[in-house]
Amino acid sequence: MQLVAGILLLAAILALSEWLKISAGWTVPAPVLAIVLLVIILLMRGAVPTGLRRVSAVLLRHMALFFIPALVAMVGLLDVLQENIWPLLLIIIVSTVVPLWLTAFIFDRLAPRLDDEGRQ
Amino acid sequence: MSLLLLPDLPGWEGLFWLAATLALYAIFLRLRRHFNDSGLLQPLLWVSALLIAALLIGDISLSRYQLGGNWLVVILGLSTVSIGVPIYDNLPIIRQAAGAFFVAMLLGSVSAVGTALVMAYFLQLDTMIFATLATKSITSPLAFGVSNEIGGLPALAMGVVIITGNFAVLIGPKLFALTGISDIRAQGLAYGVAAHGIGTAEAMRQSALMGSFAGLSMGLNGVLTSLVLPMVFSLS
Repeated sequence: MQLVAGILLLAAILALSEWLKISAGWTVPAPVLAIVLLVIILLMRGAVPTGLRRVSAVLLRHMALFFIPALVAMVGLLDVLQENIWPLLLIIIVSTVVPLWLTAFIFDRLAPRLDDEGRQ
Repeated sequence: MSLLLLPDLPGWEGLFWLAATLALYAIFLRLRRHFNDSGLLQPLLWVSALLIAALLIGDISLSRYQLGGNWLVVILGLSTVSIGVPIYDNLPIIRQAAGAFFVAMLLGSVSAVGTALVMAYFLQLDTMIFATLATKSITSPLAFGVSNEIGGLPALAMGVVIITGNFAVLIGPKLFALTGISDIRAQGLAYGVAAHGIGTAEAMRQSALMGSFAGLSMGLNGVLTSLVLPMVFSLS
C-alpha cells in the first residue's frame, strides 16, 4: 500500500507538471518542473513518506537502465552522425572535458570544505 | 480487433526486447562489480551498443524494439521526478554551498555551450548543426524542444546529448583523479552541468549526496539554458 502511494505521488506530480507546462506554454521541461514540485511538497510535509522513500531508492539506483531505449533509438540517427562524424566528435570531446573540469574546479575552490562524514 | 479496446500490448517481440534489455543490463552490472567498478564498463553504453548491433545485424526496425523499450521510457519519467527526494534530503548541505554552486554552475554552463559554438564556427559546420550543438548540455527531452525552437535538428540534438553524457561518465573518474578534485559535491555538480541525465544517473549510483548535486545542477542548468538560448538565437 505504501509503495502504491509512492508511485502514485510520482505519477501525479509528473502529470500535473505536464499539464502546467502545456497550459502555460513554458519551455521548461515537465520533469524539471516535477522535481521542483516534489521538493516543495516534501518541504511542506517536513519528511519523506516511507513508500516514496523505497520507490525512489530503486528508481534512482537503476536510472541508467531506463535510459537504454533512448540510446538504442540512436540507430535511426547513424546516417546524420556519419556525415559529420569527425567535427562532431572533436567538438563533443572538447566541450565535455572543459565544462566537466571547470565546473568541479570552481566549486572546489569556492565552497567550504567537507569533512569525511560529508559534513561541513 | 479487440472488443475490449485494450491498448497495444508489447506482444512476443516487445517482450523479447524488454527481456533482452533487462538481461544484458543485469549481466553488465555483474561484470562491472566483478572488475572493481571499472569506469569503462558502463552498462548503459555497452548494453545499448549491443542492442543497436543486434537490430542492425537482424535488420529489425526500431519500432519493433520500442514495443518493449517504451515501457522503460515511462519509468524514466518517474525516476527523474524522484531526484527530488535526495535533493530534499541534502538541502541543508546544498544551502551552505549555494554561492559556490551558482557561480560554478553558471560558468560551467557558459563554457559548455561556448566551446561547442566556437569550435563549430571555426570548423565551418552549417547553421543547422551549429544551432543543434547549442543545445548539447541540456537534458535530452529539453534539448529536443529547444533545438526545434532555435532551428536545429531535434533528433541530432538528442544524439549529441546522449554521446556527450556517456563520454563525460566514461572520462569523469579519470579526469577528477588527475586534477585532484575529490569533493563529491564538486563532481556531482560537474556531472549535472556537462552530462545531464546520464551524468546524474551515474552520480546517483555513486552516492546520494553526489546525485543530489547533479540533479539540482542539471535542473537549474536546463531551465536557464532553455530560457536563454531562444533569446540569443532570435537576436542573431
